Amino acid sequence: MADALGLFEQAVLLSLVRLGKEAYGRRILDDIERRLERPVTAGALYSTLDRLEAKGLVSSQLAAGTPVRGGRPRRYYTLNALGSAALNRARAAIDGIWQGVAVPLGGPT
Amino acid sequence: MSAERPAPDDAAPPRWAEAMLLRVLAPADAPAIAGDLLEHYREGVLPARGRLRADLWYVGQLASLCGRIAIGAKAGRLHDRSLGVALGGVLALVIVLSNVVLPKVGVTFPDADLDGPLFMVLLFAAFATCGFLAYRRRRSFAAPFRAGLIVAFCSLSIAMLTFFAVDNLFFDLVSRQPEKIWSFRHSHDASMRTHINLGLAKGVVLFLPILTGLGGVCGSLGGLFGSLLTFLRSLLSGESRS
Repeated sequence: MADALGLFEQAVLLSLVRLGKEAYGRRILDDIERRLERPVTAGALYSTLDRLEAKGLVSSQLAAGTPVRGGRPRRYYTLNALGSAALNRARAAIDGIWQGVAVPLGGPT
Repeated sequence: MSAERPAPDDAAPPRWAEAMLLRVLAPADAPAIAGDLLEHYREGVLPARGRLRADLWYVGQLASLCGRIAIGAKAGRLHDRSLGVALGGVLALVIVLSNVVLPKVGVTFPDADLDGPLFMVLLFAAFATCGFLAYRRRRSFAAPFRAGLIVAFCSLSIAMLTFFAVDNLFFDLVSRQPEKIWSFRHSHDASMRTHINLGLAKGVVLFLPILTGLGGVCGSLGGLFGSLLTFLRSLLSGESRS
């Protein structure tokens, strides 16, 4: 996987790590909105999940629905080994580019 | 948001918006995404924001999904077109090699080989591969069919244009091909050039639409293979929760 992960892709993958077996669309949306502290649209989330699945970083399974969903199924997402490796690389890259820089940076905010 | 009392299970977003959502999404994705939005609407947004703002939220989510689908479809078509042009380039190279370059160095490569069984199998396999890739990108059954159509049309149009250019620019060389001499003798055409160009015109009118349609069928088969592979993988992974 040579492609570098974008910030939103990292947020989605990390949400899968945090949610574990409870990672389905609505929970992921909630979790990312809380972490990013901004509203996230369904279009952005599902197209990202689609892309990550096409790259083989995540896989998904359908499971039975509940009455609150009108009986519609849930699609649970799981992080694959490739996804874990991509996240590790992304973290290492961030650490690398911040190395030697004192945080927080000074100057006007 | 979680402190709010959840809305009852019969609270629903605007019916037209929900119907539109189910219509615009790929059949494989629609139920789960519509379920997620309905759950979020009932448990999160409606109790916190009230009916009007919750309905607006739902319509906003629908708009975002429509926007992403439009962008995705456009990107998909561009991608299919690029694959079609690339395959057309390969075909054009083979045509130039077999009709111009090899005969000039004394190697004969009958034109008939370009519609021989092996060549056709390879061509259809290429269309099926494009369908397979389209399925992996879009997870819908319409995308592989469309990919097969687009790739077949683009590549075969380029191939036919190349034939037209080669046959006219290198007429002296091409008109010496045994199968062309044979078919000209068995036709009622006034000249070899007329015979060759009529053959090309027939190819455009008759074979281009037929082969484009077959490209769509091959693309669908590739998509079917992709869905079968996904299904088998999910069975083997043993992660089914239902």
